Amino acid sequence: MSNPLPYTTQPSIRELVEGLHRGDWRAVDVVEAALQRAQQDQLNAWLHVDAEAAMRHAEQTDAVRRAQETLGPLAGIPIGVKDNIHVLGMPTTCASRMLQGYMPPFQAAAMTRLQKAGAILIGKTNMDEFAMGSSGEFSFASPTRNPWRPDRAPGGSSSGSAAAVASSQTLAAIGTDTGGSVRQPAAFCGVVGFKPTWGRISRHGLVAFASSMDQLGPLTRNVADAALLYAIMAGHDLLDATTSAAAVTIPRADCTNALPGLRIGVTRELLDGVQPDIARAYHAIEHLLRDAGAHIVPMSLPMATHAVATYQVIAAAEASSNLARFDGVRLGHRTAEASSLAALQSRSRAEGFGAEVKRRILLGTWVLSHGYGDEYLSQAQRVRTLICRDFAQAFSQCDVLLTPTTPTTAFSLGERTHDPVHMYLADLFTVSANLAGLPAISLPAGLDHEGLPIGMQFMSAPFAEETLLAAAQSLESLLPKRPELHFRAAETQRGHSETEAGA
Amino acid sequence: MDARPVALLPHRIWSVTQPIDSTLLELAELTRLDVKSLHHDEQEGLRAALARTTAWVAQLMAIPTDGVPTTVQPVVLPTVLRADVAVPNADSNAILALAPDRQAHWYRVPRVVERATDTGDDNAAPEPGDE
Repeated sequence: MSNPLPYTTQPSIRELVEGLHRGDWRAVDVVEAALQRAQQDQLNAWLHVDAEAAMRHAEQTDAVRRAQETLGPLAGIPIGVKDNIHVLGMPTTCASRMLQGYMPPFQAAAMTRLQKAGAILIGKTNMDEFAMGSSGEFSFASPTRNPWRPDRAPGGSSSGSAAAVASSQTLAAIGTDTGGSVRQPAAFCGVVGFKPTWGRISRHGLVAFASSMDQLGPLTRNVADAALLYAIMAGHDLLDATTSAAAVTIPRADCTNALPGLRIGVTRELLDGVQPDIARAYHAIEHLLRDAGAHIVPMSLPMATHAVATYQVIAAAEASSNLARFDGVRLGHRTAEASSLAALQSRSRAEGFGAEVKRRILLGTWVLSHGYGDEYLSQAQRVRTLICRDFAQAFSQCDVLLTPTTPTTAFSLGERTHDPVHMYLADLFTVSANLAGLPAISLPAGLDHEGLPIGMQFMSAPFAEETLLAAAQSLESLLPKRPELHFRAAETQRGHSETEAGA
Repeated sequence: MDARPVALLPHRIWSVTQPIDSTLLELAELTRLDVKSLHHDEQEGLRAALARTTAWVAQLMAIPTDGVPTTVQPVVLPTVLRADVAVPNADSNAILALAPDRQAHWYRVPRVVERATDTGDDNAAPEPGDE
C-alpha cells in the first residue's frame, strides 16, 4: 500500500469513504489500522474486539467493490459500539458482573441499519455499569482513562466510545444517552456527541436503563459525521413502538451558513459555580455567534436548577423496575449457593451488581414504594412537566439554546466516586434534554488552562434535528481546527504506556 | 416560592440524623438485594450514599406543583400499527445455545416454585431443573 494508514491523516468519515471509493485505501487497510490501535489501547476503551469478524467483513467489502457492485454509505468504516447494545456474535455485558459472558440472541435494530449501510462493527466499548455513571469508573472490568490525561475521567457512561474516538482508535462509536451519557464524555474527551429526540432511533436491542429517557447517539470527530450516522440509524422501527415515523432530515455536509438570522437562546442563570474557563468559553462562543449574524436571545429556565434531582428520582425508579429482570434465574449471574428462591435472587443480585447500580436500585425502590418515597416520584413527574413547559416557552422565542455541556472539564479519577451527589451534578446541563426528550449535541469548543477539552451544547425543540445540526456545523466551521488535538491524545496515551511499563 | 408543609413528606425518609438500617433492610428485601451479606464497609457506603441522595432530592418537595399534571413520557408519539401478518420467530436452537443450562428444548433453571414447607429450610437447596 503506497498511501499512509488512513488514520494518520485524520479524515472525516466522508473523506475516508471517498478515499475508499477512489481506491486510495482498501477496507482491510482501514479496519486493520483501527484494530491495531484498539489492540494497543492503554485507556481501557474496549471490552471486546472481534478482529476476525471485522477483517472478514472488510474483505467482503473489498470484494464487492472489486465487483463494482453497489456499496452503502458507510462501506468499510469501522465503528465501536457501547456494550449495552446487542451485536450478534459479540457478548453484551453492560460492564457488569451480572452479564459476564452473556451472548445476545438477537441484534439491535440500529446496529443492523449501520451494517446494512456497510459499517464494520469492530467491538464493544467500555462504559459505566448498566450506563449508570458520569465518569467511566463504574465498570466491572476497569475504569476507562481520558486520552488527554490518563489520570482524569473520560466522562460517562459512554466512556469507552468517547475515549476510542478521541484517541483515534476509531472514527466513530455509538453510545447511549439517558442523562448526558453521550454528550458529557464527548465534552470531556474533545469529540462530538449527539443525542437525537427521544423516539428517533430504535431501542430494540438496547439493554434498558430508564426507558422514558434512553436514546442511542453517535460520537464522532465532527458534526457532519454525527449527522450521517444519525440519519442511517433513525426512523420508525416495527420492533420499537416508541420510535417516531417522522421524516429524518439532516443538513448538507457542507452547510456552514445557518447562523445569520438564527435565534440562539442563552442563559446566564446556570453559570453560577461553573468552572471559570468554561464560563469564559461560553461568552466567547456567544460573541462569535453574534458576529456571525445570529440573534442572541437571553432566556430563563427557572426549573433547570432542579433538573438533576428530578432526573435522579425518575431514572432510579425506572432503573429499579428495568433491572428487576436480573434475578439469577433466567439470565445473568447466579450465585453458587442459596437455600431458597428468595435467597438465590437476592444473593445473585448482590453479587452481580456494583455499588452504583445497587444505590440506584435502592433509591428507585424507595421512590416506588408506598409509605417510603413515593411522594417524591409523583412530585418529580410534576416538576418534569414544568421543565418541559420551560423549554416549550423557550423554543417559542428561539431556534436553539446554547449552554456549556458540563460545569467542569474532566475531573480526576476517584475524585467523586464516593460522593454520588457530586458525581450526579456533572450532568447539570445535560439531563434537561433527556427529561424533555429534546435533541442536543455537544461539540469541542477550546481548552481550559490545563489543556483539557471544553464542550458546548446546542439543544432544540423535539424533531428539529436539522436546525440543530446546521447550527452546530456552522459553529464548528468558525472554530479553529485543532489537528494537534488528536496527535496529542495519542502521545499522551504513549506516555501513559511508558510510565506503566517503567513502574 | 411556597414550601410544602413538612407533614406531606413521606413518613419514612432517610436522613443523616436518623438510623436507617431498618429502612435499608426493608427496601433491600423488597427489591431482592441481599445487603446483609455485604461487607460492613459496603453496607455503610450504601447507607451514607442513600442518606445523602435522599436528603438532596428533598429539594423537589418545596416546588409548588398544585394542579400540574405528571409527565411519564416526554414526547407524544402516534402509535404506528404493523400489518397483522405472521413472521418467523428466531431460531429456537440458536436461542437455546445461549442458555446457561438446557434439557431438550427447554431452559433448565433452579427451582422457582417452592412448597410452603421449603421456606426457611436451609437444607432445601434448589436444584437445577428441579421444578
